[in-house]
Amino acid sequence: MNENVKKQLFRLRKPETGTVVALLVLVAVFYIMSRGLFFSPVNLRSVIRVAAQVGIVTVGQGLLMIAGEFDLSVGSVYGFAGVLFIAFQSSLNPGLSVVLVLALMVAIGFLNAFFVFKLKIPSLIATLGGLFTYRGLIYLVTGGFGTHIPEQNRASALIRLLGGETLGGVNNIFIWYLLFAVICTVILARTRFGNRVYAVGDDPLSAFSRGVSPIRVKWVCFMICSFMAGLSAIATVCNSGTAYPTLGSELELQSIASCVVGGIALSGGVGTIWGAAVGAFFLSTIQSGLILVGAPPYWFITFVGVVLIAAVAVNRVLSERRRY
Amino acid sequence: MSEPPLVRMVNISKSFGRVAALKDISLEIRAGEVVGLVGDNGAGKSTLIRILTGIHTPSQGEVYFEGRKIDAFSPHRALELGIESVHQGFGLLRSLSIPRNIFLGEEPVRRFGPFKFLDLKAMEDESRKLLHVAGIRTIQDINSIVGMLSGGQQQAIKIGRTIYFRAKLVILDEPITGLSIRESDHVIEMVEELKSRGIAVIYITHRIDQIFGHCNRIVILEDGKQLGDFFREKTSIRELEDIIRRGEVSNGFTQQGGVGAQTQRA
Repeated sequence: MNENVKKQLFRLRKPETGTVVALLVLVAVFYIMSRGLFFSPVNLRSVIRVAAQVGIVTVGQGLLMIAGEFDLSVGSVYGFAGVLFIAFQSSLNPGLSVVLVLALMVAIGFLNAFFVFKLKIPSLIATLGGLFTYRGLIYLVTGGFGTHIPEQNRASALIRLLGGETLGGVNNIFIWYLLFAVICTVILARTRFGNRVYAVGDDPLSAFSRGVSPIRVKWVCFMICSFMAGLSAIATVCNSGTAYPTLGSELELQSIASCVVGGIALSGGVGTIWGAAVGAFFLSTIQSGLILVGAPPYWFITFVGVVLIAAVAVNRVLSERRRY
Repeated sequence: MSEPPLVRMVNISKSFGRVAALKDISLEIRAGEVVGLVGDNGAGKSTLIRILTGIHTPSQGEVYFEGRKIDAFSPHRALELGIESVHQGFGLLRSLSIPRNIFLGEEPVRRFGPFKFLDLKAMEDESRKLLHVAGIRTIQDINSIVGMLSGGQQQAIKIGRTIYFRAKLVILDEPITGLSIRESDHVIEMVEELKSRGIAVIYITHRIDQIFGHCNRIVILEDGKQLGDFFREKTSIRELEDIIRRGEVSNGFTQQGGVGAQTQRA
C-alpha cells in the first residue's frame, strides 16, 4: 500500500473514530426501531439539548481527565449552581447572579484542588466528599423543594440569551456548548497550557523535570471543571426556569462516561475534547432512543454501564495494536 | 581564587523519612569538566542528581551555581540556570509528539492580539535541527509520538535537547542502560560532543569503564557518603573498582591488589 495512504489510515485509527462509527450505528438502529421517529425535529432537538447539557460539563471533566485527575463532584456542583442561581435572584438581578454563581463554582474547584494537592487526599475521595457535601447544601438552600426563576426575570435578555432558542428552535445551550468545546479544543491543541495539560496527564514526574508544575496545571483544570459545571447548570435553569434538589445527580458519572466513550483515558494524557463531545452525543442518543422504542427509563443507566465497559475494552484492544 | 566553580554543593544531606539517602556530600564541578559519579546501586547517585536538578529539596546543605547560592530550587529554576539533565526512565512524554516533547516548558509562541498560540511550525523546524545535532537520521515523521521511538533515539533526543538549550551543565544518569552497543556508542559520542562544546558533564554510572576514558575526574559514592574524589590521570579503573568493592579508601590503597579485596568482599 502507498505510504501516504497508510499514514492517513493510521491517523484515522484513533479512539474517536471508533466512537463516531458506533454512534452512527446506534443512530441507525434507533432510527429503524423507532420507525423514523428518531429523526423527528422534536426528538433531534431533545437529543441535542441533553447532549449539550452533559457536554458542557464534559468539556471541563475531559480537560481534567486529560490532566490525569477526575471530579466526582460535578453533578452536585451543577445542582448547587442551579439552585443558587435561582436563590440569588430573590435579591439580585440575573446578571449579578450569574457572575456570583460562576465565581463560587471556581472557588469550589479551587477547594477541590486544595484538598487533593495540599492535604494530599486522592481526587476520588476529595471529590466524592464534594458530591455528598454540595448535594447536602442543595437541600439546605431549597428545603427540599423545587424552585423557580422569579416571574419578572424570565423575560430578561440575559436569561433568554443563556437558555432560550434561536434559529430553527435549536437551544442556545447547544451554541454555548459548541463555543466552549471549540475554545477548549484550541486551548489543548494550540497553547502552552494545553501542551502542559497533556504532559502532566501523561507523566507528572517527566513534566516536572522539564520545569512544568503538575500541581499548578491540574489546579487550574479543577477550577475550569467546576466552572463548566456551573455554566451548564445556569444555561439549563435558564432554559427550564426551574431547579430541583436532584438536579444534576448522576451527571458526574455521565460526564466521565462520555469522556471515556470518547477516547479519553482515565489514566490521563490521551484524548480530545472533540472525542468527549461525540461521547456526550452517544449518551444522549441512547437516552432518547430508548424512550422512543418504549424501553423503561431506568434502562438508560444500565445501557450506559454496558457501553462504558465495552468502550474501554475496545479502546484497549485498539491501542495495543496501535503500538506497532 | 579566580573563577568560582560552576557548581558547588556544600554539606548536602537528604533523608526520606528515616532513610538517609545522602550524608554530608560536598562536591564541586568546574566549567567544561567531565566528572564521573560512580557508585553501586543505592549509593545515592540518583538522589544527588535530583537535588542538583531541583526535583528534591535537600534536607540540609547548600547549592551554589557560578558562585551564587541557589534558594528555592526547582526544576524550572535549574533549567533557567542552564542545568539540563537526562534522567533514567523519565524526562520524555510517551504520548506527545517529538516537537511537543522537546519544547515542553519552553514552547515557542506567536501572538494574536492578547492570545499566545504555539508556533507549531517553528517547533517542527527546530526539532528537525535538533535531531540533526543529535545524529538521528532515521525518523521520517517529525510528529511521531515519542513512545514509538527506540530507546536509543529517545536518549539521543534527551541529550540533543541539552545541547539545543545551551546547557552549562548536563547531568546524565545511567545514560546507556538498556541500550544496544551501537546506541551506547552513539551516546558516548554525544558525551564527547558536549565536552568539545565546553559543557560540563556529570556522568552517573555504576560501571567505571563506561566513563573512565572520557572524564577528567571520578567521584565515588557509597551508601550516601562520598568515598573519594580522584583525578583520572592519577588513578586507574582497577584501583577505583577496588575502592568500590571494599567500600573504603585505606592507606596505601594503590599498592594493594584487587584480588584480595574481591575475596574479602565475597
